[in-house]
Amino acid sequence: MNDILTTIREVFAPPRHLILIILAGWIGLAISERRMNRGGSINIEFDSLWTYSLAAFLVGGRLSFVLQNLSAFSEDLLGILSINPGIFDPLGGTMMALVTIRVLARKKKISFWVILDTATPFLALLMMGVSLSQFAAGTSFGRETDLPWGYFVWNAMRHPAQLYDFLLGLIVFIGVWRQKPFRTSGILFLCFTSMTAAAKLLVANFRAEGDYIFLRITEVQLAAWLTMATSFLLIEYRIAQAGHRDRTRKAAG
Amino acid sequence: MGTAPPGQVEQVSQIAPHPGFLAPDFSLMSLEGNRYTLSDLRGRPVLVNLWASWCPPCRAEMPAIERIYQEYKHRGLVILAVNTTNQDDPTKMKEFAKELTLTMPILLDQAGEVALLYQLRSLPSSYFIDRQGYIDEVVIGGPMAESLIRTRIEKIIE
Repeated sequence: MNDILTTIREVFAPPRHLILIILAGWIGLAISERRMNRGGSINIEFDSLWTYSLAAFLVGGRLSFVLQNLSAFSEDLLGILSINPGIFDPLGGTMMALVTIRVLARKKKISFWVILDTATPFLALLMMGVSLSQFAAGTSFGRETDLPWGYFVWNAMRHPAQLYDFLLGLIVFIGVWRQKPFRTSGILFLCFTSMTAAAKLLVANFRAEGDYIFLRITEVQLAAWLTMATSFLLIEYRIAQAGHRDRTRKAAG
Repeated sequence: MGTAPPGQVEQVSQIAPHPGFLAPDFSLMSLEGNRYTLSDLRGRPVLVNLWASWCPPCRAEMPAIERIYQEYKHRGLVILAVNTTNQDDPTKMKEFAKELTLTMPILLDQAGEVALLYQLRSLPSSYFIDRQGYIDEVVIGGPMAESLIRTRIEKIIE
């Protein structure tokens, strides 16, 4: 077992670990498109939407990083265009991608929630790719263990926490892939975010990396709790909104 | 047991070439014949850059590293340019250092011990080490942009 895991880590050792994320994203896009075609209910130019969103993610992530470190770039303006993946702020990229999706959705008169539902299988696979990539890079590693499935990394036998994350991600992916479309758009996406947050919360118990923010709660745990709470509130809100629409329609009809 | 950084989930007392761990210690001779021991530099921020003269990204990033060294050495920054001498041509390495007029210490890893210790998989590899001797950031592959190096240095120099 340890030999197989070591081989995977050697084949995809940094900086090759990024290949796993790209590969997962590529497969995820294909699967999302297939799901969209299977549904047959929406006929929109998703290809251009993905392209713009991806471009916004990359540009937004880079710009956000530059803005946070302006002094470092003042003497090396060309550094903004360098190929270093380290010059990137994933949160800034995500925000920019979301804003782009929102703007395009309005322009094309598509529901923002329908787009998020369509992107859900892609996001689920992407999360799996990130977990595998972390495993290959040795980041987000687990606590020490003497369990038989522990593997040797950073001078100790450790929980393969990234693989736990990957397996839970696989379960979430199967769940969203097999799920028939809900009556209310956005529920699929919100189920995905809440399930993923729950999985992260579970795996956080096996992770060694991470800093406590307060009361022995790590950043990951706090983010997971917040994501879950927000998702549940939005599910309630979306269902209530749909109910209200139904009642209005009935009253009018 | 070493002292873990405040707030760290696990008491990372171990030594490993990964962020959050104490940087593996080594002692090497420089091109000028001086001995440098990493643990002796505790209290100062250190950048360990593993390189070879045949490696194009290593060559490409070296001028930026030298500029950073010139700019930050007065603030205590130490840059150890560890040449993987066991897989390099010493003559070409010396020519390259002369061509760029490198002033930072160039250490000679003749037996490949540092490469082994730091589990070197790709050249160049850079390790940004804080004043307490903990690795703050690892950048594998290159060339690193000057601005990237600057952001990482600013972080460990604080």
